[in-house]
Amino acid sequence: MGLFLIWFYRGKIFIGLDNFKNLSQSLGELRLENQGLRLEIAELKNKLNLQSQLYLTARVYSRYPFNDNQSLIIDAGSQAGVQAGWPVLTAENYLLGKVIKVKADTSEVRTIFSSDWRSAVRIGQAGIEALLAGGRQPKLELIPVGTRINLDDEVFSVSPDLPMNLFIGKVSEINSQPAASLQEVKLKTDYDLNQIRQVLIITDYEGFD
Amino acid sequence: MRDLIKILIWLFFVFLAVIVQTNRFLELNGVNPNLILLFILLAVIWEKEFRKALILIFLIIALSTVVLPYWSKQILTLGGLGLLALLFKKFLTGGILGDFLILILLGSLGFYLITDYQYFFTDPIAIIAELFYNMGLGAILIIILKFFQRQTKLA
Repeated sequence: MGLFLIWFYRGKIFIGLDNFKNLSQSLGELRLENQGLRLEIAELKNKLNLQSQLYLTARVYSRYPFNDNQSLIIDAGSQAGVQAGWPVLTAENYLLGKVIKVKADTSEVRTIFSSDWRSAVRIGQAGIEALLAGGRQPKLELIPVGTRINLDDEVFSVSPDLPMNLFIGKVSEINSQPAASLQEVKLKTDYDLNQIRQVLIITDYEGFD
Repeated sequence: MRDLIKILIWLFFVFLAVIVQTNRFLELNGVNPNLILLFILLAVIWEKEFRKALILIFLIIALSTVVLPYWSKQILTLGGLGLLALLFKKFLTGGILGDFLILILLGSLGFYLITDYQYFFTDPIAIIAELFYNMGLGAILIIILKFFQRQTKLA
């Protein structure tokens, strides 16, 4: 009877074994990829020297509905230990803004898209210093003409009131006028502010205001 | 009863407008239209009776504050602008579309002048863009309302 059942289902057994073999092969490949990605993350963390950073996760409650500001309200306040001045990130090491007002259950976050945002940044490998001016499209200002900046150069925060080397975005446009002594650069980010539902707050941070 | 239905219809559309504004569904190139202002000014222009317009403005402000409690200062500013518009309505031309566009122009500029005057220096292009966007939407709103008004009269 047993032999009859094996003979009857032999085709399906072989297909099943093949599928199992393929699945275990894919699983092995995924494990390897995962291991590689973990190593890459660890390397990047080491480079940015932020591995010991503590984060608090908060959800975005509300976004300022007018154009003059791009603040967010998040669902973590003084009861969660949040303090004004703490940096806020979209993902690990991606700067979004900082906490400016704290209530019991909520906090207001000024983002780099707010027109009153100003902070010191460093552009590219050369480490050219500039001033990040917030707005609908954030700009990098006070860059002397002749300074070598390329499209897609990465921009990092070097502001004293924020942790060093937080990634902000990439250079998307360079406006250099021969008559002017300074050039202006536009910045693009990898995310859309409208799509952000959750943020990370760096806790226990004491910057120099 | 008819007034109550009218108020409920108003509140439904105001609620929709607040949701659209806060989620920035109509955002174009980073510029979001001020739909709350549009509805406040529409109440000023569309309602012939002072008392009814006043009630509508208060209801719009109350509803907007409930939905957006964190930005109540800005919403109250819009309410104040609506009240000013209501008081000075008699000095306008009398044409619905023209008056509405004038009020949108003054209201949009007045809003930023009161809440964040520095915005005129930091991003004047955004203010102009929002102004045209608000006026464009306002004109569309009046055209739609007039169309429905004509249809109702014909029926």
